[in-house]
Amino acid sequence: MPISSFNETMHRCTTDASVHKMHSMLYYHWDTSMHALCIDELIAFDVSILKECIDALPVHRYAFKQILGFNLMHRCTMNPFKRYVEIGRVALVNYGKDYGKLVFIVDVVDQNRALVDAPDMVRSQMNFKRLTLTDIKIDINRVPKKTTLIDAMEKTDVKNKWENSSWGRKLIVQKRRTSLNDFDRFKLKLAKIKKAGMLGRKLAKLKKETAA
Amino acid sequence: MAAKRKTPVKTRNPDLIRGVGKYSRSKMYHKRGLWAIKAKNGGVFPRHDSKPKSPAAAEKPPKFYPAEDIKKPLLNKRKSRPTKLRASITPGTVLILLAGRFMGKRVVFLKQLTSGLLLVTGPFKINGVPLRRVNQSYVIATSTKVDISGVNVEKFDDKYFSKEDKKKLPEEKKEDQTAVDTVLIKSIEGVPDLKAYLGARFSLKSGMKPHELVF
Repeated sequence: MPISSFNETMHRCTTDASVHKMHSMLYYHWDTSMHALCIDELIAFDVSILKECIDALPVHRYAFKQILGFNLMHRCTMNPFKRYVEIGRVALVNYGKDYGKLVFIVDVVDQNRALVDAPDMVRSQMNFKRLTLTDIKIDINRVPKKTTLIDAMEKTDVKNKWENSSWGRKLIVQKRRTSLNDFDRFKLKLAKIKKAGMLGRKLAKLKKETAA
Repeated sequence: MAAKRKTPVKTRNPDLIRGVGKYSRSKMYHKRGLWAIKAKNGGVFPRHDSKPKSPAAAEKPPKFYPAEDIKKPLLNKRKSRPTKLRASITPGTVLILLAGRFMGKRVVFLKQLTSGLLLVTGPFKINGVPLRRVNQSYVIATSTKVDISGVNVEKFDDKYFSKEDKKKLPEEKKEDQTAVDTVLIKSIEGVPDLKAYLGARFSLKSGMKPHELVF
């Protein structure tokens, strides 16, 4: 949901002075976008208006107010977390049958579990403990169709982003190293010796030149 | 046993779930062509009456009864055949020997002998391993293969390796070795670094976990 329309909504809420209307709008926006905001989007927010809205919420909505306010304020101020669980967040599975797969968080079930999907797997729930969040995020709505997910994935080019990131490259190298044959390991050893030899000779030459 | 069909019979009545076939009794009757068999036989199923038994020869009482019942030994229908060869070991595979004086040497597999042992050669000029028999259990099979098509290993069997003179190696065995090796070495030299690979011994280094290594 675009930030500009949110700001507008907020503005309308306060000027309207209709608390119920503000409620429903906030609820609606919360469902789709609030937990998807990242810090640079928040900078665009008119934080003062937001504060007014939150303060104007009636007391019995205390919990909601706290959560909403906390989450937004939290991201504005200094906080150690950079990667958030949000819809469209790409995560790496670090335990279980799907170990090593990249998956997209498609919905949040409860405090501990997410609904997770990938082009080559059946959509399923996974505990957050099984996931390691990455920097990559795609723009999807809650629980999209498989084809929509794949389109969004291709639009942000998740595969290439991952394979070019340092984390992704490290994983690829690890995989290559474990798949090496006995003969391959031997050839690798020869190559390392050769490289060390070349470096040594070059170094000796440079030493001689600086000494002379 | 009756002769086996070239392709196994596909069931005419596949299971929808266990216990429930796709076709009913009447459909199956039609499918099996029982109506055709009946038609061929004039409206009834062909009967195969047992042939009238020819009168058996009159049995004479035996001339000798043993004092005690002798036990017949149990029937043993086992056939002796060579040990089942691992799927990863094919002619030309590079093997790593795990025991004996050539421990760690990488060696070329030629064929399995009738005793089950593997016939193996260095080649001798590359790593000093002659034509030798080796047990499959003391060997790691790598996935590296050498082209062995030009080599003739017909004449080698278990009898070849029985030693008459334990002190001296007969000249013909030396000739056999060179005959096998020259062809092998030519195909080995075709692959870069393979000769050096076969000349080096395998050893576990620090950090190598055998159960995680891919050979």
